[in-house]
Amino acid sequence: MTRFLFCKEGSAVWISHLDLQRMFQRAFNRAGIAIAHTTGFNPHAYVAMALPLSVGIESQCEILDCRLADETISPQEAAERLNHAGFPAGIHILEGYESNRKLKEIGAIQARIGMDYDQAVPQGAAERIQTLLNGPTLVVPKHSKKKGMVDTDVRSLLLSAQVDAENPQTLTISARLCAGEPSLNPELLVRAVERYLPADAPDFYRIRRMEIYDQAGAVFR
Amino acid sequence: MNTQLERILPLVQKPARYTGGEYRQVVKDKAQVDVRVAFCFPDTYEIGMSNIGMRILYGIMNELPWAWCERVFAPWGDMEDQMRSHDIPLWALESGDPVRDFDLIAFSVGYEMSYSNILNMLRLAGLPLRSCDRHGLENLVFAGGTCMYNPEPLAPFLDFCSLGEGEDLTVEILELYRTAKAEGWSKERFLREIAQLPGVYVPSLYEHRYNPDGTLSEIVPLDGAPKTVTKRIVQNLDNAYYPTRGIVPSTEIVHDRINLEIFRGCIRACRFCQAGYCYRPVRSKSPEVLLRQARELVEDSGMNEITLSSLSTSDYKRLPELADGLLDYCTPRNINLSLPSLRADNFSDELMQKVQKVRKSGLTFAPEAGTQRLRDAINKNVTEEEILRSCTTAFAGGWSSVKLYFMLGLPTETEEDVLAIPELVQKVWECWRDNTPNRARGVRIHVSTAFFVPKPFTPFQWESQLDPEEYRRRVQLLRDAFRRSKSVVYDYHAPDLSRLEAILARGDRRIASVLERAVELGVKLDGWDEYFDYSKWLQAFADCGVDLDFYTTRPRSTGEILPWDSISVGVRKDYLASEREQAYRSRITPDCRTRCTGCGANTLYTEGPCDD
Repeated sequence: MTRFLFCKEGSAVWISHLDLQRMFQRAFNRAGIAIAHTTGFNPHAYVAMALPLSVGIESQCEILDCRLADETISPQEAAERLNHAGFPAGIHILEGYESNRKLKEIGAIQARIGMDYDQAVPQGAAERIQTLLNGPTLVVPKHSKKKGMVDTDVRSLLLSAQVDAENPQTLTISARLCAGEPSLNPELLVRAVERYLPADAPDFYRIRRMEIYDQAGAVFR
Repeated sequence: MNTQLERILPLVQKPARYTGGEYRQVVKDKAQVDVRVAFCFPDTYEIGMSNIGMRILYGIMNELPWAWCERVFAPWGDMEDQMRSHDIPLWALESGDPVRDFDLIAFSVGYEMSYSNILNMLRLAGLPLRSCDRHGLENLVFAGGTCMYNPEPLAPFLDFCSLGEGEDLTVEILELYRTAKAEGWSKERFLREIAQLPGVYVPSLYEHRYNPDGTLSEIVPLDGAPKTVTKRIVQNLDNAYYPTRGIVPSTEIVHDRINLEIFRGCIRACRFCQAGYCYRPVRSKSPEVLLRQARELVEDSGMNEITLSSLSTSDYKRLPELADGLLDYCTPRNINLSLPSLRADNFSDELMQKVQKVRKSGLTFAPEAGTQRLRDAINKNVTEEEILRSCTTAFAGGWSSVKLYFMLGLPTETEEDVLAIPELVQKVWECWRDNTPNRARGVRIHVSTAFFVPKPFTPFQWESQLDPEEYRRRVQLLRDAFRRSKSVVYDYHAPDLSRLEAILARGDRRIASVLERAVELGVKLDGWDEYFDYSKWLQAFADCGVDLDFYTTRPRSTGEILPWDSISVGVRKDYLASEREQAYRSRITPDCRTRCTGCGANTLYTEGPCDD
């Protein structure tokens, strides 16, 4: 399997997952790289993306797997040709390589949440948020496939969290979160702050996915 | 991206349409260009990015090293609310700069019901609506597109109009502006000078005077403006710029495919059709050029669907050659080819086979009227026999769904004409029953009726529009007729929108204040059911004391001075009047390929002949 590590940032964070798939299909066409298709009545392309990213979240570690129809094209060459053929602003392939590791092995992600306060970070907010995230339980409204939005204790899915004051107007939460099945969307940490510490809720926040890990805690490639 | 915008994007639907950044968008250094153009499309991103005219002119303007053209679209209501509450003025996608920072603000206007969006976009940009309230050479507002053949309802808002095809004229406009800016001309001087460019109409240089009965008494050109402004055309389409390296949107748009324009104009002369008269003379691109452009488009965009674009695809002279060439290229690459706008009278078995090879798309016929008499009156030269023959071909070929489009309220229409529609539909159904290889599957016949809107520069430009109540009665006749049929789905346009369209299409300058008032009342996105609010429009007419019937049901004589009389599309007014007489006699006029009937448009085509 050919694997591409790519980033999605800037204006590209607003491209939805479905649009991203279509965008890649066109990028492959432009680069003149054919994707292998399943045989059968309704052939579909051998393409998969790991952990679909929510709209609005940036990432420096997105993974796209595919099987190239022409096996003589090396992953490095394919990456180069794709970058050369061009993407929308904010999408760029960082690396192309051969990998046999299954996407199912992914167990966690590292995310960075930057929380902006227009006036200033409230006095003691970093400590209060740190205490909240370190607490024994963390009940937030979470989307469930069967029941819709339900209050769920997500504490066990939050592997670690570190709150730091980046500047007088910004706090950052660096969090390690479960990914795959089950998973925790980093936005829910902001929901938790809004629910339990409304006075410390930020005016705006942005999230960046920093790294992907396997179940043993090693970087996944 | 500025932080303010970043903050509101999570709050709106489909944020990708507001960010720019698509593959092949043009970004330049604003310090290095002399002229900045905000190219505004008065509808949403999804509609505007599907527009070929917009893509052509975006490419042409950006080919000029000293100019930078950026795109602006109408925001959806949720975004407009956010912009207002966060005090964010309308911006251009490429740079994110406010529209009010631009030299030229251009609108592409193809549909009357987007007029309110033009005003609303100017408001969102923080600009005065009226030309006379915008001083200086900055922020000149101009417009082009089919609607500008009667720009009068927008006259007080626009500084000037670009008439006809913009390939050459747009460059001339930008060049003159560049000179004006370098030499520090006043706005007044610029408008006087640009009025001398062939194809440019400056509304403020024409004084409209009225009779006591409300009709025009005189149109007086001022300051040396020409009496008549004639639209511009491209002489040689093979050599004309075509955007083969255009923007590939990152989010899905309405026509999310490659659009290959094959010819301009139409050899037919359907008497209701504005495009049929306004896009004359007929000029084609050669298959060689089209095949080359198709390849370039596929290679550069990576898209895998091509649609051929024209007013009537099956009238393209060398269609078999083009279709074969395209299929040879598309089939092995799994690229879909679709051929829209096929006519019932020359939809051949062979052609159907070809299209079917790639993809079975929908089948649509537009007989427009139920009886041969009325079809002859409107010069829709298609016979019942031809429609049924095409349906036979299609049904025998396995199609089990067909769409039939009609108009109600056409000039000379009687109850007999209306009731002939269900009779024709019945015959189409019988045709299916007798020819389908699979009767168990059933058939879907979609019948759709639109409310006829008389348009400028057609033989019906003097006709009255049917009263909405009478229109409703005729719709009811059809609803009753189709009620018991399980195979027929009937839908019809509500008269409200068509009535307004008729007013805006043939309106004069007095409509401008209604438009202004309507936008003040919150009218916008009229082309969208979610937003169209007829009651607000009626309120605006009442507030301004303007009578709707004056513009809709009032009959006009051919001697009346029309608001668009200062403009020429090449087709002579007396020719249109004679065509109107032919309509009354239900006499057909042959298509341009059969015989030239001397409309006058050929005089624009110095490198002619037409339809060569």
